Amino acid sequence: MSDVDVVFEETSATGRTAEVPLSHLSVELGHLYLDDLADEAMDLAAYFRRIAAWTGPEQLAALAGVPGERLRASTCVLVDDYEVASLGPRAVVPRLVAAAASAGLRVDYVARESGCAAPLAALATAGVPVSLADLVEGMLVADPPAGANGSRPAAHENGWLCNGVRSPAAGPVQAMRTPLPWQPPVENRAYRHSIFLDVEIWRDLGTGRRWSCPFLAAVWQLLRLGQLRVHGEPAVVATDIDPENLPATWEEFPVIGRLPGRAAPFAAYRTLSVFDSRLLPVEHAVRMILGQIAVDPAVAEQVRNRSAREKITLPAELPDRACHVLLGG
Amino acid sequence: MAGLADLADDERCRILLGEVRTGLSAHSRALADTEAAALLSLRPGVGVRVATRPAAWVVSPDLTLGVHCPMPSRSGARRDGIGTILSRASLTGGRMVQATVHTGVVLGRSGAVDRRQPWAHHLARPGRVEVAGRLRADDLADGFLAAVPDGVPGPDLDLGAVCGRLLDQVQESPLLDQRLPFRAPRTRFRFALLPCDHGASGAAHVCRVSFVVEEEMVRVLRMSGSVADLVSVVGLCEDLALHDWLLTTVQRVVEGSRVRPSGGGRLPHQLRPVIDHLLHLWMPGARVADALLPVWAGVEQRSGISRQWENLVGWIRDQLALSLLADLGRGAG
Repeated sequence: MSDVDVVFEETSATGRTAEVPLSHLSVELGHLYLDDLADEAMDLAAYFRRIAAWTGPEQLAALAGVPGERLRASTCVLVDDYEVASLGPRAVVPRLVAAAASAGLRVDYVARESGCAAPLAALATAGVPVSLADLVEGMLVADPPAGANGSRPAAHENGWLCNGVRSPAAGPVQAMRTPLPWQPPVENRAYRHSIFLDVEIWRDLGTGRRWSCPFLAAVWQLLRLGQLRVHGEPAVVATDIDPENLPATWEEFPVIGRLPGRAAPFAAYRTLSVFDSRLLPVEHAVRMILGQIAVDPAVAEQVRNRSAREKITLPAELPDRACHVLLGG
Repeated sequence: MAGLADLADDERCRILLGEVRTGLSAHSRALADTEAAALLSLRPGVGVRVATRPAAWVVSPDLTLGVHCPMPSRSGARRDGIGTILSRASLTGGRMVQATVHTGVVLGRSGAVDRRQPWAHHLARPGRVEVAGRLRADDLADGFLAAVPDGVPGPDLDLGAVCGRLLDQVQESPLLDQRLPFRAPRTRFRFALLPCDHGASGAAHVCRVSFVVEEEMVRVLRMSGSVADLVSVVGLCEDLALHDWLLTTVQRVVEGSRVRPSGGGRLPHQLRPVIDHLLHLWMPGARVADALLPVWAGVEQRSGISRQWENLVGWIRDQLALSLLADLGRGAG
């Protein structure tokens, strides 16, 4: 009798995770509020010229760690339409693209921030609407303070995330007794001194959650890093848009719109964001949030294997894949 | 910054620690696969995994929790560990619910003593706890396996608490009607895999196993070996814990029915739900990796759990046959 090598497998038992195409670098060309864009007096061309000084091909190739001739980089702009949507895509997109072009920059992708917060049909789980923000909140694994041994669930202040231990609150119970002296908060990874950061993730408005700007920006970074999947499929796929035929409202605009041209893939091994320094606190918060995100290990492994095949050295830690240039006034 | 290349190193010198808790789902009947999938969809956007053969099996996505605390040890050496532990819940045959938690402990990594790594370092290595300072592998494993029973919280890593909370979370789901067909125990199954000396060959192997039934509901499995894929060892432990629970549960019911006087050859009423819900679920080794099947076989041979199960099933079938005969006799009379 001969031995027979039998393999039995059920596909639904193993799970499948789709890969997404990756550029070397995803370059975000500034961050504009719709109010800025509505302001006729704002010199958008000058704004993009300052950014262009930091996004030349040699600078990008050096950041991506590849020779210039091999570089695949895509550019994107995120429109901040979540809080205020005073202007629609028809008014905004052509102006953005023209101003960037006047500074020698090509915009490959335009995305809308509301797309990170709104429930997406593809994400609905058992009829419950789910947004990209919900998805990412489910990936948060809080940085544990010393003493966290699993005996209690992770401390979860509703809608807040921090990098350490909060200053104890002087509640009414303590007020009845001898008042406790003030205790400082402590950063988990303090080096002699703490830089404690506490970030609002969402606020409950009664009618639903309003996600904070840093949290949505973290979702956006994760999209750009190609880390988000829904049931193994890419969470969002860029959709072609026709600049001659843009919708009037952002709801009708894709989450990520691709302008005509030969754009490199939207997602990338690394991201570069060139911003006004007024966004420093937001980006500090974004990096802290990214440092507490556990991505799907299958996705992490795909990126690891692909970067190895391309001979690209990539840090394992997500925050280390995000580069920032913060411009002074 | 740590490069990606070092992620794969020292996989083989990790010490696997874990616990499985097993119980009967708090529902009046077996759950269909779709119901089980809804029950175990514990994270948005991440699906459950489902297998239909040889028995229905649905498992939740992994949940990750951060810990930073002293590690257990027999000697009392208090060494801090920091990292993540993974947990998951599963349902087998629509009836048996399990919560499992595990982590791979890496001892004495240089650099871990002076300064804490960024948390992202640990999240890039899910299911791994790094220990600062010297701690012997067997000291750690002995301390963990001898951990104090439930309800006595200490400062050390407490995988049991995570496991218990997850099982409670699933059992208290509004999708379950909380009407159990019979009283069933909850068992705790703690396990550890220590690295062995001859692990360089590359193939997964386990060379030493001890399986101890400690008290009524606590079991301890201690293994030495070299297995790169720790999750496959977790799967083995889940399978062992499942069958140990089946045996324990059916044994209890049978013992309960034996102490009552038999009512004129009638089938003891306690046996009915066991026949309905459990007897068909005995399938040892069904989802165990080939390389680990010898562990199952070894435990089975030493502890005789399959023989014991066959005896129990045989006894129940005899009772059933007797009750049928009695019914026929009554019908004829």
